[in-house]
Amino acid sequence: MKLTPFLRIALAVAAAASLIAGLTGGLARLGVVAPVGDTADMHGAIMASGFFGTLISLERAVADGRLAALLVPAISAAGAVLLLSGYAEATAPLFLVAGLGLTLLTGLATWKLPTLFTGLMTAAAALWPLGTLFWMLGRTLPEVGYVWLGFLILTVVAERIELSRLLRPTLAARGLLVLLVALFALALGLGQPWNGSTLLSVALAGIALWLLREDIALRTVRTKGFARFSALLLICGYGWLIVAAANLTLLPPGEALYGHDAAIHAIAVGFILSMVFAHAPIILPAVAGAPVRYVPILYLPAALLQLAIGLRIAFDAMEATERLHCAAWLTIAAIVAYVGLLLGTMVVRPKALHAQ
Amino acid sequence: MKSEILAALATVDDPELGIDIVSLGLVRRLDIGEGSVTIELMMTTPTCPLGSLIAENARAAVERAVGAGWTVSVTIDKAAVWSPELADPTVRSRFERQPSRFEAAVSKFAAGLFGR
Repeated sequence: MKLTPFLRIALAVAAAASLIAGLTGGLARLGVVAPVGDTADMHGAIMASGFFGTLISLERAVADGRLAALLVPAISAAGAVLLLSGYAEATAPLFLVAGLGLTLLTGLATWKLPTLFTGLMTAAAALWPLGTLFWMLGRTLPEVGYVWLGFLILTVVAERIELSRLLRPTLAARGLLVLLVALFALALGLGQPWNGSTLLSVALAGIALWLLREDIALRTVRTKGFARFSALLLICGYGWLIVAAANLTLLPPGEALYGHDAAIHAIAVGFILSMVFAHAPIILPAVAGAPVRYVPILYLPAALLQLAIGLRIAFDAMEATERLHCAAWLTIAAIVAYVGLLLGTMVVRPKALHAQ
Repeated sequence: MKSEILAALATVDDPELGIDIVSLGLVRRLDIGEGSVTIELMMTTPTCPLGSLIAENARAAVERAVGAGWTVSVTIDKAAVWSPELADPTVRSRFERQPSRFEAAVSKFAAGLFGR
């Protein structure tokens, strides 16, 4: 299925606007820039639901191939636009519907191919509307944020298992993953990491170690070109997930002052954004029709991102909050450089593509 | 002719795995007719959005190989279900896990314990 140019542009604008508003909201939280509207308060909702929810829905809709499936990212994008316009209350029902739609799309894929990864992807998708429902029922964004991150983490896990089928994880390994995911969901249900954090921490570390062991990344890292670039970022991402788990135990968000900032960014920036950097050069041409491609200079923003999140966690741990803005600016520099370089590859085409 | 087309298809990679679509076993059907080539591919999963991109790359590669005057059409069979068994054995052996020394020692110990 090809997206119509209008839809493509509309979705791209909504996603880009979400990203920009989400990032400025983040800066405003640190007091670096003056807040615009309620983007500072809504930083988490904009990034998790507005940006990533729309992106993942678009990915599934394109894979589904039916035109009606595009309603899901369209509703999510509408929610993102409303959120940016300051109508936060009106937004939640839209994200709820989009989340249910995404769960339906992945559920249909599970019906077609009942396997561990499609089932897990459906369970992951269900966390998006569930978190949104909690939000509508009055829970705060820092609480809901971990449920939304659960949606993103488990979605990535499911996608990675799909790709690791060539490795044929043993029955015991698959059983272990189901157990870890169940513990992770249980911990979220118990209100962790705000209300105790040990179980969530253990489950998260377990999932990360499982991925390190069962993912093809440790094999594809020995190849070259894009597959290697992607594998290195994946390994870094799994590393940050382990750091996040350690962080949840050592600096529990309910007790340590900056434990929440460190944990949520270790996951959102260290893990999720590394995953985005690792996949964008192949996902964007597929879902958005943008003819971008991998170029080795993308290692630069990728390394910058790792530095940024490392500094952020270090400053949080040292309670050196007056320096947090350095890490935030570095993160933004990494994203801007990455997007800029990637867009640049659309303009600059190599003269002899196959002469390498 | 058929081998040329397969060679052309073998230059198209599944970008995520870095493995070509022929070795992965994604080429389901290849028909050569009067001035036309019809290829049917399958995808590794119904949740992967890369299908049309891979199909487009495959069409371009085959068109270059067969030259002008041929119509090349590439379709995706969405109903087909891929499994790792369809991949070339050399690809599978590249990915399949070699038991670690620890695992080998444990199985040896277990085998000894149960007298097998």
